Amino acid sequence: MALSSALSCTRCGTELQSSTPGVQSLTRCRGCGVELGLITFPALQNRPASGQTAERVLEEGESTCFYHSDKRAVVPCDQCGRFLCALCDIELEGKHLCPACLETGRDKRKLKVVEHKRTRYDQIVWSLLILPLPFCAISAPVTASTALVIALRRWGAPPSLVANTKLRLILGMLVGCVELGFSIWFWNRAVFSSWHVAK
Amino acid sequence: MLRNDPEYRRLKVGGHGALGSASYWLGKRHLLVVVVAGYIEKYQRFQYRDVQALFMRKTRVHYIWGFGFAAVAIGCSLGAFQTLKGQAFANLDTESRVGCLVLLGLALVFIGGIIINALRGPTCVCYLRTALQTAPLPQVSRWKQAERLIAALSPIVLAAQASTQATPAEKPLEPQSPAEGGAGNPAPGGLA
Repeated sequence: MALSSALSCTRCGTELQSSTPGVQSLTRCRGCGVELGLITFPALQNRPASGQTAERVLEEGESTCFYHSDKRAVVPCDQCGRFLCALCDIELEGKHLCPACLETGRDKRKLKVVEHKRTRYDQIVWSLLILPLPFCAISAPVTASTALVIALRRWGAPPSLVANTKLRLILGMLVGCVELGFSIWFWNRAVFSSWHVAK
Repeated sequence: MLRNDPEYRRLKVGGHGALGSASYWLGKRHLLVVVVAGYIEKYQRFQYRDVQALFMRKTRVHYIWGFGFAAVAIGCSLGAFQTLKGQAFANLDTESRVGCLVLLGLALVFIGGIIINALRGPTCVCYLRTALQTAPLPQVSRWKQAERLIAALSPIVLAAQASTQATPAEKPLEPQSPAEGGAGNPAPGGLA
């Protein structure tokens, strides 16, 4: 953890001289001689913020925290409206949330800010369709149908933030149907031709 | 999709690499880095108020690319001359002509690679430092790209930190009376 305000070379760890905040500077590491571009910001000089402590209720009739009945409420939760003390208040992107709403939002994927990964089902579908393409006549009954099942079952899954997931899934399903149709035609023809030969 | 989201603006940095792709988005309060690796899309959010510094360190990878391209281009050119066998191109048989043209074409492709590599400038690795971590920024591998990122990011970070500094950042701790004891300051006698 880099809690100190000293800057160090990312290659050899030698301490660097910090520049004026907001001004880009070119410097050379004294340890390894590598050229570094560096820009610092005022946050580098700030001491790490310490957590707030909740105040106790001093007067009768004061609003108290939903979770700590002896602590003074400072803010209501923007999600559920429960009163929160300074200890329970979680500020996230300008919103004040209680721990329960944060957990629910994370689990139900309602809070995009705390989401850190998503599965790209459209990529899986396209991999299943493209990778076995040279052998699709043989493999399509397995791969294309798996791709179709994934596309249909994961239709409602959270989409990608950078790609058009629905469009890719629709196109994937179309290609999957084409591959399946081709495979059926291939097997039909192979079976019928061998049946004619046998006859 | 972020492209249709008015809260986000895409930066022209990042791109594709051997291990995936990365794109950079400027939000209202944070920089969002979207990394696609395999079938997983990962999100890194750096709050502007937390950004302490941006580093870029020059590497020698562009030299390796340049030498690699040059070696292949020279090899292909020598091969093309070898197919000539001291004769004029017009006097060669069809096979040698095709071979010579293919090798010259490959040499041209790799010369193009050298030129593109030189135009893209030196390679680097870029890091973003916050109070808790020094995070490498994926797919920002060229100095020019890193400078573009800094040019776009630094005014926003400075503005965000100027507004947070307007409110007092931290007060020195004052001795608390037992009646005011907070969560981290238990009252004497173990009473909470």
